[in-house]
Amino acid sequence: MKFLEIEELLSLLKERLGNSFKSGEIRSWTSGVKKLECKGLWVEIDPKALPDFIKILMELDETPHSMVASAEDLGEEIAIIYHLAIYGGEFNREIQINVKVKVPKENPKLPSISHFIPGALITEQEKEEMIGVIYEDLPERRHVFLADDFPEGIYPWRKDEKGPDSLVRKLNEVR
Amino acid sequence: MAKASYGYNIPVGPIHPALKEPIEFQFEIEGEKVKSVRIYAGQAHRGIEWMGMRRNPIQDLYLAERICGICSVSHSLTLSLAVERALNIEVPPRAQYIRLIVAELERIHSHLLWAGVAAHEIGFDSAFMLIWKVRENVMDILERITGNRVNYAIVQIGGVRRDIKEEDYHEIRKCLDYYRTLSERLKFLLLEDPTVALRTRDVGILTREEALSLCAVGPTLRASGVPKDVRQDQPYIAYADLGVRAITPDIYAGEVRGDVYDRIVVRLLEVDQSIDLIDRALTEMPEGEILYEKNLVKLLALIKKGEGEAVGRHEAPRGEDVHYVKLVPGSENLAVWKVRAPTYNNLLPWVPMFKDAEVADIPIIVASTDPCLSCLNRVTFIYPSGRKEVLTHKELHELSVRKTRRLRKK
Repeated sequence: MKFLEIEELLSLLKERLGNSFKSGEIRSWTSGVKKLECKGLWVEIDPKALPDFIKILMELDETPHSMVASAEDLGEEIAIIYHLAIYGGEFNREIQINVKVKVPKENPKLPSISHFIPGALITEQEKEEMIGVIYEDLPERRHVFLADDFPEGIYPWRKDEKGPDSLVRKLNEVR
Repeated sequence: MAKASYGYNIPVGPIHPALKEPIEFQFEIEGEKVKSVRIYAGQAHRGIEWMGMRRNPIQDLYLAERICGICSVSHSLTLSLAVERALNIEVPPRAQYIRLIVAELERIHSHLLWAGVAAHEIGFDSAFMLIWKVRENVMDILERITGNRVNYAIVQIGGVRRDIKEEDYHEIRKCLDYYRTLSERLKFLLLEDPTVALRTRDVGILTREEALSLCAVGPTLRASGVPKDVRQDQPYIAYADLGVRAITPDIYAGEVRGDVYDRIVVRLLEVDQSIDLIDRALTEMPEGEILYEKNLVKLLALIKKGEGEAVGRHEAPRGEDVHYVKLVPGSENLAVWKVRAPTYNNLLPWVPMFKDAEVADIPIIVASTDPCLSCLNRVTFIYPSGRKEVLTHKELHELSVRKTRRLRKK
């Protein structure tokens, strides 16, 4: 098995995803007395290209590791960042990949990656209930961390009128 | 008579310190065999991320420390790693070594705590008491270094808050020697014992393929023969200097079965590894500063001006811990904070582990991934007629102990 360098991976993604590839950069940091360098890949792609993106990763490493997905309310859009990793198992060989997709709030639909990485199911279910995106082909749709009687249409990580402020207004102000 | 199909719930809840959310299992059983399981979390989410996004990263360190009652340093370390990477803060080397020492001491105490709990779950209570007694030694050392047994509050953005003093080196080494002499006895006690083997061999099997596709982390993953460990895969703090090799059970047993026994093997070997790492860290630890910026007002101003996003990862005793943070200029609060505790990823791997397990094996399988068990309080059996019968934690435990006795008689 040939292991790609992070720079090679970036150019491969650019080439294979074509117009769906929006931006990409490599960020590095150092640790220890010897200042060992570790690198992470940060890319932004079109949400529709997510399954293709995962397929490319699966060609390189049969089972990419899904750490988690984070989400951010950007006002008009919602950003979802998948934190993935491939090539684990040897000293400093792993490539950490952070892939960002943005969906508009009026139509927050995107494809699920849990068909390819079953371990990503919980994090996708969590994104649905916490920020109100919709995974069109999620194998199972249910609450994971919020109670079943949690008010519908309220998403705790939203910063707009759908946020949880109406639920917490009676609490003492934080800070 | 047609086989009756019973379904029953095992709530591990209502509050679950390790998971930060409560959890509930619904088992479908046939006779004594578990046919399928559904896992539900919910009911008492504490909203720590929401709270954290209304505080600045320095305040969040103390909040993060309280995500889990056992991994006190893991979450605050992971959060500070993320913030440091986002702001390009360089941590002084000595602080990186102190972080490693505290993190590895925590691994020793957490794995010993787990070994005790696992022994208790199969009714081996003398081992449980012995292991928890010897665990006190590392707790005392943690208290000596950090000032507290739990919630050490040692990590600060850009370094650590307390230095390890010259006179503490000797005490830490004494503690390491104590565990070195115990190591063989612990392995004999848990791994050579025929009853322990009867209860844990080929129980709760997670194959290599399942572990990889379900994104299991930590000892749960390594026990299935996958040599992945954040300390090795993406070295951070002083692990970059010392070098760590992921531990898989074949090192001890010569084979990988991915069962509960293998998870005991991995954790016990990791205690040895931690002892070795702390010893080397003490020898190689450089002199120097322990903080990037001593003045908290200046540090906070830097955070307020700073911009960036980053992921912090740390191999906590239970597995990979991930924090994502985003900082925006003009606000000292975190714009986004996502916390991923290891048990989050170890929820789905429970499903194949429970397949065809016996009811009496449920406690040890639940325990084998090392969630916090303080909350496994009762089991509800729902019979087809709708009659409910609640099995308390004590009764379920009794069931498990009876199985051990039965197996021993055979």
